[in-house]
Amino acid sequence: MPFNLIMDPRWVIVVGLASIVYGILSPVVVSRKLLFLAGTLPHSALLSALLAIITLNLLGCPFEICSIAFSLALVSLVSLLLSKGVKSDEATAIFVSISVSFTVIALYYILTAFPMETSVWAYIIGDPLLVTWEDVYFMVAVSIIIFFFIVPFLREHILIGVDRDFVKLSGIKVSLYDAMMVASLAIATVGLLRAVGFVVEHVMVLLPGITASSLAKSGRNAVLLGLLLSLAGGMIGLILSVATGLAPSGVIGIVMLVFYVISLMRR
Amino acid sequence: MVPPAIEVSDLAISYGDEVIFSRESFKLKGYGLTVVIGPNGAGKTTLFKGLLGLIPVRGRVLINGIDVTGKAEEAGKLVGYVPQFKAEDYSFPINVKEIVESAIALRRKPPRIGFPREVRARIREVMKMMGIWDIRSKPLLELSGGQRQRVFIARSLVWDPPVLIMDEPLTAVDPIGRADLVKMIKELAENKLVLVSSHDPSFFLDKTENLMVVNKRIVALGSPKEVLKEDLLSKVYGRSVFLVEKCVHVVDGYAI
Ligand SMILES: Nc1ncnc2c1ncn2[C@@H]1O[C@H](COP(=O)(O)OP(=O)(O)OP(=O)(O)O)[C@@H](O)[C@H]1O
Ligand SMILES: [Mg+2]
Repeated sequence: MPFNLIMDPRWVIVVGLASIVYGILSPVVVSRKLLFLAGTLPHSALLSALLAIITLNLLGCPFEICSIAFSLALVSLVSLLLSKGVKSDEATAIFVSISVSFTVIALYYILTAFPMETSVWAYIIGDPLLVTWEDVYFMVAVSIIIFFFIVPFLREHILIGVDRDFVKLSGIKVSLYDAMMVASLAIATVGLLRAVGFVVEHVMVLLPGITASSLAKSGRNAVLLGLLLSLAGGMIGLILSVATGLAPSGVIGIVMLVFYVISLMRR
Repeated sequence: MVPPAIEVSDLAISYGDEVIFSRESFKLKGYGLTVVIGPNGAGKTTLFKGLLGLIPVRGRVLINGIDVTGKAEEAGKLVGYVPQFKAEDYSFPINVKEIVESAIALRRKPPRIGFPREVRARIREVMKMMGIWDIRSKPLLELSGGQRQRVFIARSLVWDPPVLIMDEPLTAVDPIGRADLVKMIKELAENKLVLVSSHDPSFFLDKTENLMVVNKRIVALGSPKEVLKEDLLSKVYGRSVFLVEKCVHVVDGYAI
């Protein structure tokens, strides 16, 4: 049945949420020049999810709480490196090395110790078509947190990226907003990992913002366009993948890439 | 209103091991223009950032009698700042109106969305005064050097601070735009304390209250007559001092 377009509402909800959340975060990532950090976060999200599977199986610690706690801890490590004056490229290299090594160890351990219990594949390639209603509730909660952390303060976040000193002088506690943004990224990348997967998360967190900022002529339009491109990419990708039977997150990634290429031609 | 003042005592600033200023003290009082000169890397930007609490300092900085040492949020209540322009900061699109509005938006309580009518009127007034109302929807990076500086000056003026600090506002501005800007800055100095850095003091000379020469320390501070002496300047600028002097004489003629 090549053109089966019957969709479970869960698929639409999950892809919609992921697109909205990344559509909000991505322009801020670009404005704040956090591309390097956003590029490392899927690594730490994957490791956090794997560690949470292990602690769930060994200690019974709830997956949702543990995975977010691990993710926040790992991101704090990057922030610590940066605050010690390590350059962002080097911090990225160190951090990716650490998380990749531990990811392989954790993956190997999970596959040998409790092979039946869990499918780790969804975390790597992403599979919105396999999410359960519990997954959906978790993702809704994650999205609400991000929404309240970022949306009311979008102007501040964008302006901090553009002129940090000026925002400080205007009486804004810039470091608080830094922490808010980094925590949001840590929570979003691990919370939405099942829907989009580790591989395509890189695309979703970077491309909508990059494409939007290359097309828009104002901060406001860049933010709106980022959201729109992300949502359109997610939904078109989902429909195409259901229609063709190809991996949804992969198709979403390609659609976003197509948007980016079109934006390059328009410049 | 009490005339504004900046009082600095034992100010010390360093980046790691590199000492830029050690134990500088000075006072600037009342309305008027203070021009800060010094070669590239002399520490003009560093001094401004230190006064504004944007980088760590030792010593004490009082603005209008209030201790603002190391406290950008306090300094920012009294000082409008026009930073030295760095294009790479503005790679993200942001338009003229958004930049000017930000000075007021950020000073409001969250959520910082929308403005009351009188605030919108004030923003429009300042943008018209600076001649940037017609380009309000343009992204910053599409502006000329002079237009860009007007945007940043508008942003620093829109909430009417008693003190203005401008870091090289004439850089990348063409000669006609420069004359306009110079005139505007001189007018602003009539009822504000204005501190402006420049590579060429001659433009401001007729209205310069104080001239400050920096070169990893404050070499001199006084009236242009006291400071513009060849022996003093040659210590700072080495062989290019003749250039400076020549320039001073030439421009002096038509600037008055
Ligand atoms: N963030 C920084 N970290 C380390 N050193 C710095 C930093 N900023 C400036 N410096 C150094 O401090 C010295 C003074 O720099 P500053 O930018 O204050 O000079 P300036 O007088 O403003 O120069 P210009 O005319 O080029 O703007 C220079 O030697 C510079 O290399
Ligand atoms: Mg400078």
